[in-house]
Amino acid sequence: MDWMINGLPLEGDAAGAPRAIDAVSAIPACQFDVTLSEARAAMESHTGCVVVNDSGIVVGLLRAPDADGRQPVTEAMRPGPATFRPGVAADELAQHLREHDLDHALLTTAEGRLVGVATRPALESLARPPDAN
Amino acid sequence: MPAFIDRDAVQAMLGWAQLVEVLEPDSYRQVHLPGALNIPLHELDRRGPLELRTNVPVVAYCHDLA
Repeated sequence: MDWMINGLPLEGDAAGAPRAIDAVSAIPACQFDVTLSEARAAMESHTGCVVVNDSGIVVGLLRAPDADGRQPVTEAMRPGPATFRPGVAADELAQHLREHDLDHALLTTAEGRLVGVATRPALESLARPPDAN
Repeated sequence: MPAFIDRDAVQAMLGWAQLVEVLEPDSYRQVHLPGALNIPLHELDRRGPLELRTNVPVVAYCHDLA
């Protein structure tokens, strides 16, 4: 996995196939011990942020509408979000998101460290053949 | 003597160490490290002595794509 994230060479039938890491984009993250208001400031124009512990491990998701007040983020976050590995095939992950009516996937390493987020449109765009409309 | 090595060490050994993916053939066929052989874990004891050289380091690996 670490090999794929770093773009190192691979061989095999699916070696050149698009993977989730190819669609990754940044998502704001905040520490689990900040307040909701502090987390809201870190979100800027994003609709939410990922909550991580002091080892960078993902522990929850916080939506912007819930980020208000002096309570710790842990009181309003959604703990234990579903995560996916960056090496998953883009078409497989896009299909999973369609089947579960989700619009994005949180990508982490096997240890749970945040890599980024992949949106369904970005994954579907990667999975589409180059000459498709 | 077996030892755990990291990505940088494996990368430095490409082209001269014996890389062995220990997952099943379907997984190997999809994707594997350059030059890696495929000896599924349950066959390693039997096939290892037959297919691997004793004078070249062996790097056995699998992967997490879940």
